[in-house]
Amino acid sequence: MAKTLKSVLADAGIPMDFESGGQAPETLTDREITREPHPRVQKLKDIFMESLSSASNEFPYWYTREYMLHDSEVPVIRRAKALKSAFSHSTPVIFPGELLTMRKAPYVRGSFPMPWLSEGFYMAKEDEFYQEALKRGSASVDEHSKFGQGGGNVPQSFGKVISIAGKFGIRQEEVPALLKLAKLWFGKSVDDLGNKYEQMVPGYETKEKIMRNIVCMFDSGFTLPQGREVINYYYPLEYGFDGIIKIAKEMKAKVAGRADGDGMVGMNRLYNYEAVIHVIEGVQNWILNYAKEAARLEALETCARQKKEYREMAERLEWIAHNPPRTFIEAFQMIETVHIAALNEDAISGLAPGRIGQVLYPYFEQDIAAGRITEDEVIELLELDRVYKTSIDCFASVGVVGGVLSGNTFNTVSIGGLDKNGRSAVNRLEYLILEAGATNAMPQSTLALLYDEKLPEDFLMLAMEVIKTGAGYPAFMNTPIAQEFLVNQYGHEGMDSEEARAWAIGGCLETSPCTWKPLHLNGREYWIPGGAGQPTSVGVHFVSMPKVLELTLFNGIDQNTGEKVYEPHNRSLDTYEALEEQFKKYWKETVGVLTLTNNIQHDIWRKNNMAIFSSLLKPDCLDNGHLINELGYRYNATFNVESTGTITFVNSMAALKKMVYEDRELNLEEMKTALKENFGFRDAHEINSFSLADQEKRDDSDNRWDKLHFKALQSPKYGNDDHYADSILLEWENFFCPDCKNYESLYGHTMYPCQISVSTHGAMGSATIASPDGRLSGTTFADASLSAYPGTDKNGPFALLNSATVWDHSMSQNCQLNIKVHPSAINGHEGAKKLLDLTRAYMRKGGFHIQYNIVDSKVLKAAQEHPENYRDLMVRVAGFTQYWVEIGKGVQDELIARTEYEGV
Amino acid sequence: MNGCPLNCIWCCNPEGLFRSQVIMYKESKCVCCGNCIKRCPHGAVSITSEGKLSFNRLFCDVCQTHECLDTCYHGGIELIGKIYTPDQLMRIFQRDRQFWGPGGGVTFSGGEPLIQHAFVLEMLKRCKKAYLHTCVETTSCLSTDHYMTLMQYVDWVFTDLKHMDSEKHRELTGVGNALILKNIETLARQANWDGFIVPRIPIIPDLNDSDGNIGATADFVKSIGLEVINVLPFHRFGESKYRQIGKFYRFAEQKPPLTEKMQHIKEVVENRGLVCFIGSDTPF
Amino acid sequence: MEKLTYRDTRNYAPIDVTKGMDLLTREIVMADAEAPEGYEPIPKCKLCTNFTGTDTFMGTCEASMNEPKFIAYPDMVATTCEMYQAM
Repeated sequence: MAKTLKSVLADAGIPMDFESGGQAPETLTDREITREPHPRVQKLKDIFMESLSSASNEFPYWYTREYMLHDSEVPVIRRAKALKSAFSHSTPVIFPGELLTMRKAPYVRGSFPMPWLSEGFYMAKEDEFYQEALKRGSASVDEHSKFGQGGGNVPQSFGKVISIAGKFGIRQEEVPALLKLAKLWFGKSVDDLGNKYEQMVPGYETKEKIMRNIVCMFDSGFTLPQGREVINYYYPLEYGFDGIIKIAKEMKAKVAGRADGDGMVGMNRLYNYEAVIHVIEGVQNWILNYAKEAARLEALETCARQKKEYREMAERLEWIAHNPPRTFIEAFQMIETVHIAALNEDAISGLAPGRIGQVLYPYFEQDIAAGRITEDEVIELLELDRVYKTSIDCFASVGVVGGVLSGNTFNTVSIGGLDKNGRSAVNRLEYLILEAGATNAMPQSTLALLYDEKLPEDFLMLAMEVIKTGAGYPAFMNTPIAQEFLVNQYGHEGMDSEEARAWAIGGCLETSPCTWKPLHLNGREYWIPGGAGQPTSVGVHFVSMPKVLELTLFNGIDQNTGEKVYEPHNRSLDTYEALEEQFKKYWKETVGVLTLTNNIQHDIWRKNNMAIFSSLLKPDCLDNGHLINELGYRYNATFNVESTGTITFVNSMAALKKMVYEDRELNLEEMKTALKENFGFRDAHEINSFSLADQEKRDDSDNRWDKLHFKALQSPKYGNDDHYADSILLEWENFFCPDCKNYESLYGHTMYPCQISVSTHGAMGSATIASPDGRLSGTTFADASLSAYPGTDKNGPFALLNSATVWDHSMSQNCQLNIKVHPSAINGHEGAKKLLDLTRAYMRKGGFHIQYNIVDSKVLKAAQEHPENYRDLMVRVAGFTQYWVEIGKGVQDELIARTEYEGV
Repeated sequence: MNGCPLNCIWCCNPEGLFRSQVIMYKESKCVCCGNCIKRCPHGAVSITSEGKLSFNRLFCDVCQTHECLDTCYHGGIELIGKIYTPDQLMRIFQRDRQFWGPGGGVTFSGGEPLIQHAFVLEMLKRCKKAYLHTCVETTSCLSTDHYMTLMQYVDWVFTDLKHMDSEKHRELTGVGNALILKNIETLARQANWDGFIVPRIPIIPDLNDSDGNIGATADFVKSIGLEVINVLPFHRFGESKYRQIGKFYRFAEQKPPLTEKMQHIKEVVENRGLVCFIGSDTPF
Repeated sequence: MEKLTYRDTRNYAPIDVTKGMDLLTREIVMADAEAPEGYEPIPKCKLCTNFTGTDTFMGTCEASMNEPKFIAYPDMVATTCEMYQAM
């Protein structure tokens, strides 16, 4: 007999006890997520939405004034005193309605330049350094990074506001002083000093040409020397600031005058502990200044409720300035304070709070049990945290801020993962973090879900529902793959499988080494995870693979600038193997010289600009008395080689292999002519669109290149489960990943690959002529490292995911795959389940990372035309979520073009 | 899968009506370069006064060589229909199954997939061996021998029942319904078959949506021991495809049935003691 | 008495370089707009006896320990400066 409906449903695991004419089962009804934050949060969010990125002179003023006073002091003490003065003199600003407070600078989106890192770029307007800076290449990056014209950016000066770095506004009254301060750092900044010594590296001239022609984007040592790491809140939470000072004082007595077997830096421990004390005293002054301001506001206030909140805030700040927190809200304020303090110490992007759901859980659990707080109040605080984190701006050169970060600061929170014993680490607080991500959808903190088969199903489904709100998060990262990578990369520094479980995402998707620490609260012990490694995404920044291919094809000469970047190879490249080999030669030359010059920059940084506050947070600095510069961190093998444009390169090699070397439809010279002629199209810059779909033909092109261009576009492409193209990716990864081990960082460890494009695929595409895959001059590369080039993955998402997993992802610190999904494809509860099935399957196949952008491309086009109506539209760029209006035009165009799946 | 024994006047997948590969014209991509006009050996392509291409389908529908395709560099001409060997198709199934949830499987659809019965039989057997759940969407309009042979390897069957009146059925689809009803009944009554059958009625306003026809269909379904009917409201999403293959669609202006009407039909079915699902809102 | 702009008072919380919140009325106000009478001036270098200089935007802090005396600028907020001496 034919099967009954009941048995069919039972087989499928659908509990449906239907009656004839009954209702559709409840499991099918959509779960509505309310998307409104609490009223208090909405008010503060409204203020944020209206606020411009504003720079202040305060911190650099006091830092410089104090630093210049101590020119013969031990470097670490000199820096500590400068930091103490700067923290102690930061003006507090508190807004009514805030529960969590303290900010980088006295504005909602405040930040400040750090001329001790690099003074050149904001001096540019008035100074003779400008020409010098130009020659050093960084200014040409700036030209290729266009900011989105909207949101809180200040791209142009107006009124009494001067635009600096194309993003920040600064009061005219402060500019002359800023320029004066900057001059004091001339010849002394990390940038200037580093440059003085990097010139001694053989091949330095090539490095300059590499930077000037955007083969590589950004120097490493003075742009964002720290970040892309997981902070560790353990010591302040466990000991309080007074407790840390006590530890430092005791340790000083133990180490003073002793080398303890280390003749090189053993003696330095004394100065390091002394520096720690100075900096903590500065941070305490800063907290107490906020407490005083809250008390002052309390006195002014007439509304009884607000008065009480100010009083509680003042008491809370006074408590945490000295003591370990006792409650959830005290602990939350403590981690916010510690976070901002770390960010103010150095130019940092991507300082990830890490697994705060697990760090704050002890306080949450005990407060809930004691009735001190409700879940609704916790959600309100989590929503406030999102306003707080989104308000964080990072001041760096325009090239870095716009071209890499799209204005984003990557304060990624990780959820899920495993606990110390290998069980699911998901707790109730993490469900609330997801809920708050939906009720107050803002770009920060972006959520990273550390996927593991052991995580509860309802937690994963909730994550899918959050994705469906269009927030762009959480992204999914694969725990077993990360653990494999961590044990391989950090095994020699003591990483084992238990420690690897503590991992979290630093920055947008950097796999960061972490550790477990025992937190004590009211007699109970909790093992909490936190960062234990140095910054990642330092070392060799973004190297453009399509650009290196262009230089390989054209005998070392850049086709945009005409400059000879590499020594000509003078080879005929008459076989595919010869092409491949020459590409690798240029690649290795590039990575080799950049490793050396960036090592020097970082070495200068560590001599005069070492992290003191960040160091004291990280295990095991307080224990061993060494800061970051003396390998005080537990894990130091964090330097990497970053690649951009992987898929554009793979597709180009596939096209060359097929058309030139196998089918011999044309010879290499003809292909090169077509590339130079841009297949008969106008340049992307002429028409101001950087998406392939929008490109226009030149009037004089007489369709000569149409056939060739069509064939190039039709040649095998990555993302279609087509072995022809995928095998080129496999070969590349099998070369690239182990090759990174051939380069050594200043800390004496070998490097590893980092394969995320962030936003560089736009800026670097902008500087690169047409490529053999049919991509036109000036248009963006394929984003991320495993996303298909827009429109070329014609066989659907399963084929794409199969292509992406041809290689072993655990060889690399990360890789990245973004998929844009049309909202209609994941309708309802069933849609969420399908999305989870897809994600789970990718993880099972060994995929490291996947994220979804759930926005209709029609909406994006409308938003580009009328940005004023879409101020709060968020999209997923490449590892992070950002307001649409704040993204550069090139990346906007690329997002619109990115293939949209209408069915999963 | 291409080819269909029926020719439903509202068909939403017109490209499935052909047994062979068909040229599809994508007006939005065409730049009127004229390459295809020059190249076509039949002189079947011309340019209209509105500056668009016109394909003389008398030639195109029987063309085997498709020279125009090779001269189009803008994606304006596409060939509908791909040829797969069982090995190739199986490889895709095996790849994709990794991404399905536990409820996933293979659905053969068309056109009428069962026309290519030898190929489908081979695929069904291979699916069984590979523990793949199988499903067909069929008109049930083929020889009972073939039908029953194939069904031994099918887990779920979605079969159309477009009208209970054979003459009406012929008017709407070009064939009577006797064979269809016989096949469904034979399958439903086969003692040792443990598949699942869902009869489906596409609801086309004014053509088959009367209470009488719905009731008669429900009576038939109940009489052969089945318990579910899936009613599918008419949609006109196939309209653009008609244009692209150079055909006229007489239902281009037809509105879908009202929600109230669909609810009413559901009640008619349910009043006869059956379960009724509307559209894709089903638990299977 | 000279009229104060909002950004020269302590009853103002700066949102950004152009505007802020009047902490008494909760209104968003322009930084350079005139504040109502009676708003408390915020300590700035230009109001400090240690500040010298005639330039619009630059001057010197006589209280600094640096040699020569370190720069200062009139507009700098001095609420946290321990050397601040109101004129």
